[in-house]
Amino acid sequence: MSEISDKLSQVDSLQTENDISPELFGLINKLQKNYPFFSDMEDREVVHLLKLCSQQSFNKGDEIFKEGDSATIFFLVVSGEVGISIGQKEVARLKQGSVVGEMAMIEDALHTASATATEPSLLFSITRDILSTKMPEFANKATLSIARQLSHKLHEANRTIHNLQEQLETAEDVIRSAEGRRKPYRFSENTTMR
Amino acid sequence: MSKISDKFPQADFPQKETDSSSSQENFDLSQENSSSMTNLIGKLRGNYDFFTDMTDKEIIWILRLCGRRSYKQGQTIFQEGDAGNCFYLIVYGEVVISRGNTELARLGTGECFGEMAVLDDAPRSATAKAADETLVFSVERDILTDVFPTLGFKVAANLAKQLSVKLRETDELIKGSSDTPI
Repeated sequence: MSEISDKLSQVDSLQTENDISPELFGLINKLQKNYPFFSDMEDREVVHLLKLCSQQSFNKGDEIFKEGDSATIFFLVVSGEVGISIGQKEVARLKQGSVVGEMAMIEDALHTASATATEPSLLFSITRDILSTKMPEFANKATLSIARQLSHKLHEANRTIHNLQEQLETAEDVIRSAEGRRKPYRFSENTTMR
Repeated sequence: MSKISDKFPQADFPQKETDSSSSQENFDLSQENSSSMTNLIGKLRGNYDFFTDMTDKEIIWILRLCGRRSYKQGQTIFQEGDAGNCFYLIVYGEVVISRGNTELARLGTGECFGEMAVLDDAPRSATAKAADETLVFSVERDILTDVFPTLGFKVAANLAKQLSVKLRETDELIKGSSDTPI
């Protein structure tokens, strides 16, 4: 993925969006194909987005942001993996193509969770300028991409809740049947004590 | 396209927030400049975050494109597995979202639901039932992409904001449930 850094520098020096080099086209197509975030965007919109983002590398264990930090940017996982935790508890793991830190940006609030690289990771950091209404069509697509990702994450979280609920019910069943078995035992124990 | 007044007949919205003295608040969308329309727009913008940053014109667009449906307590709004082409905004009432026997969320006035299937272009992943007398606006998916970009952007941003809040609450629930030893 080191190729991305070379091409990103090309993007920064682009005077107009018309003189995109073939290699840069390659990158754009790759992003559109492999990253759902870009899949609805036209080439010039991808270029516009790339202009608004910079890349950051993290080593395994590096903190990306923490609970309580203010949020002026959000991230897209280009490669690697990011763990999201509240306090000591990990609530999600996000892989290539996922968006990270968008909740605080969308809600215009502080980060309510911490993000840590769980393996060496390359991230695009994207400023909230992408949601500027100066380019409504682009902002619309970017926001829809973010909303879709949120929807996926909520799906996952709901599934987790549903599974936890089922586990709880199973555990309750086990306890109930164990108690059912214990009662006569207790009774006989009591009678012998008497 | 059918006449707007067919799709959106004279409305007595919002029933629950007005007393009988304001029954002249009935509005007709064919008279966009009527004072009752202005009144309604003001009310929507003032009381529902969803409309806060929208212009009068945009609110009128949404009202034109949305349907109104009322449900009695216990009535099903949609079921897991149904096709989902619209999302809902709760004008008043309460809606319970569940999967199987698991209640996932309880939503009230001003909150949206059903947006996940719309965004993902997928069937409903959960069931929605009215937990009270409930009035909803139903908004078709088209509004996100096919009407005009500034409105699509605002609607998408609103949905994203609400999703973010829900996700945060659900994450807290996950955290809480696994903190508690069984």
